[in-house]
Amino acid sequence: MLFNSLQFLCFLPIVVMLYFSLAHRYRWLLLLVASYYFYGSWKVEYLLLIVLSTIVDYYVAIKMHEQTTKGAKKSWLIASVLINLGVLFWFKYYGFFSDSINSVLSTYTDSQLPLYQFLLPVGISFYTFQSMSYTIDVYRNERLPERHLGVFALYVSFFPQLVAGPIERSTSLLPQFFIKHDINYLRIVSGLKQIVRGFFKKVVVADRLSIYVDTIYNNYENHTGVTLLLATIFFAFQIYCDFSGYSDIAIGSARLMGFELMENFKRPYFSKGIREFWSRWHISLSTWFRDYLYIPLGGNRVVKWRVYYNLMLVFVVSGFWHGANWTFIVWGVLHGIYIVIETMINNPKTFKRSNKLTQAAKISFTFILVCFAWIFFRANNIEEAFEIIKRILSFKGSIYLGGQSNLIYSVITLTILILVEFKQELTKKGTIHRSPYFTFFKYLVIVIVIMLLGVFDEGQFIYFQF
Amino acid sequence: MKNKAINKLFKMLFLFGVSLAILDFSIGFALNYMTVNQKDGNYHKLINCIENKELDLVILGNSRAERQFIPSIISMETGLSAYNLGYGGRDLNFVDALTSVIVSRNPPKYLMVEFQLSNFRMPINQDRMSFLNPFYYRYPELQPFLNRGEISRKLAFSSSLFQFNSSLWDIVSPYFQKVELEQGYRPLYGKLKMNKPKQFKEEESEEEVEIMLPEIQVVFENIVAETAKNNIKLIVVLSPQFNKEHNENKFAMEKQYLNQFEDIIIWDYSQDSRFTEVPILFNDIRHLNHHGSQIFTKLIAERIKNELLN
Repeated sequence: MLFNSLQFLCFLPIVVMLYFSLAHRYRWLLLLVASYYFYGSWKVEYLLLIVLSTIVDYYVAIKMHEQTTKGAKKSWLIASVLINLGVLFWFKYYGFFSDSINSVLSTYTDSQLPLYQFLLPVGISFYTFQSMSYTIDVYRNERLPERHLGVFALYVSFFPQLVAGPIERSTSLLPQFFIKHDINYLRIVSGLKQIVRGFFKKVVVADRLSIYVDTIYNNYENHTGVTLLLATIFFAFQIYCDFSGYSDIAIGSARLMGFELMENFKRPYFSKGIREFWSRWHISLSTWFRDYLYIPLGGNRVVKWRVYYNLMLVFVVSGFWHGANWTFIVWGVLHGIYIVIETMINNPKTFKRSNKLTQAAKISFTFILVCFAWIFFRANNIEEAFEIIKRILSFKGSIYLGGQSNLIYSVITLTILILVEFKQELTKKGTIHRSPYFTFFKYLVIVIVIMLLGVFDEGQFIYFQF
Repeated sequence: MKNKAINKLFKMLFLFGVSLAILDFSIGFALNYMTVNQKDGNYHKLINCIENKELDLVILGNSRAERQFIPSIISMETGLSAYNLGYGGRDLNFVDALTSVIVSRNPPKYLMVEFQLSNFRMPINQDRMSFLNPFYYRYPELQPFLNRGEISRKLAFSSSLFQFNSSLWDIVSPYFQKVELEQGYRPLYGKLKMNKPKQFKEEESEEEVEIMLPEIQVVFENIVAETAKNNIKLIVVLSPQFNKEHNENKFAMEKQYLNQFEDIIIWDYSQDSRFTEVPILFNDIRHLNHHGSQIFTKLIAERIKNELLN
């Protein structure tokens, strides 16, 4: 079930109303059934994977807690990680590896690895990571194992954030299922406003920009460097609005029922460096990698070359997490290189001294670096990405207007978004407090803009494929 | 406390809903007024053609129809009243939708569809249809094309704002931007810039697939059936493309498919060297310029006169 579908617009209010109508002790059951229904509406069979992940981690955490030696605990942890990553590997990466290995084998022998075609289970990387973080937390004694299987199953499958995050931590989300949430006017209004903002980002900005981006990137040979540059900039905002729009709808939907999910984006294109960018972009994933990969590797408490190695490794894994394709790996490598260079030359004093002009230059430079990496992320393969870069660097030709109206809507909606975020960035607040009448009117206008300029073809969210 | 919160919430939601409904109706009313009262522009062109009872020939298709067929030349040469209802960037499904409206209202004697064989390999692009949304109620024949039989879309069309979704520019722009249209024809005045004519690769659209798509065949057969049922002669024109490297066998299946329709006329100019090797007749490799269109339309008009009227 997509957030931007009528099905969801009916599903959500029904779940919220039932949630508040039921006694607190039955609410977990309602949310679990609703979450399984939400996920099962894609492909019922893949619910088995969530159930498997749930049962494995539930059981492992309890067994791990019962162990008295660190070695025994570690064995259980390794078992859990192997099963979780094994399922992820089988469904997401087997094709990539078998393809790559077969191409090497073909030069030496006739024998080949068998090829299997799977439909990638939606959001498998998200719920696998969320579930794994729980077992790791139990292993580290940061929390006790959850004894209520139903509530734990709900933690793994909670529908607002199931398929594209934010990737929640057990220490934050699990306790919330035990709190009795009453109807709270301000919280529900806040949730509704966040949902509306999410829809604006998704259907008005991201899906609009995607029309131009797809036209250009899927037919890049016939377009000029300037057009490809514009399409790349558009893609940067498309993926931002697509993903942060999803996160807003997820956070807003959960808030309607009283659950607080973590903020996943903080106006990332206003970052003054790559490190800052990653503290504002897909925060739930970058902090996951920080806590469960970077720090266990030694983080920055090791010798310098080892810090750089750790940083590179985290970003390569992050690229690979996004998909089984060399384009994502190169994207990760590029960000790794950026951050290693930034760490090498970083001088906090310079940063503090910088005036507005240098800050603007830093924001622009960071944006250019991020856009450069997005080319690999969006291109269908590496050769294509290099050809696109070659064309962009030629700076030749005029801009392809396509359907003129689409380009005009794209520019208008993008301008609105940038201005709003710029204002938020200046005030360093998510929202500016105005009179209730102003807010009422503002959201009325946003809904009208969504209806007039939104793209209603139920476009998939980009991050569903990860 | 709980009841107070619920009351406040429902009061707010009710107020929001009522305000939205009022604005939906008011803005929709204003946009509808602006649409039907355009003095030129794309919507004016549509209404002007569909509600014209005296047309003998209507030209349909994408930008190659819109930019290459001059109705005034056809009228002058043949005496037939003609109108160009081509729209850039549209596909065969769009042509089918317009055909449904035209044949059920004021059927002309001839329907000319500009067409490329590659069209059979391009999947239906539903978002190209949204241009017709403002006419959902004015021309009910469009409804199955626009709501696609989906309940969610049928419900969405009850909103006036949704009917004008993505149409704002087409509605507003003619009020401040003069659109040069001559019976629907929109000329191009550029010239293909090229010192040495080079061979162009057969361009494949990003959407093009390897096989003839059954869904497009259904759309095409629907156009054929609708025109036949209303005694309209269907003329399919394959217009020229500049110096295209052509693979004769690539579209053999499409040619064979088209030839099975005995009642339709197919005029193939795609390889006509009077055009394909003359860059000054082209605005770009896909479109003739005004000068090229004049020559091309004259050829079409002569053919109508010789093969259909005599």
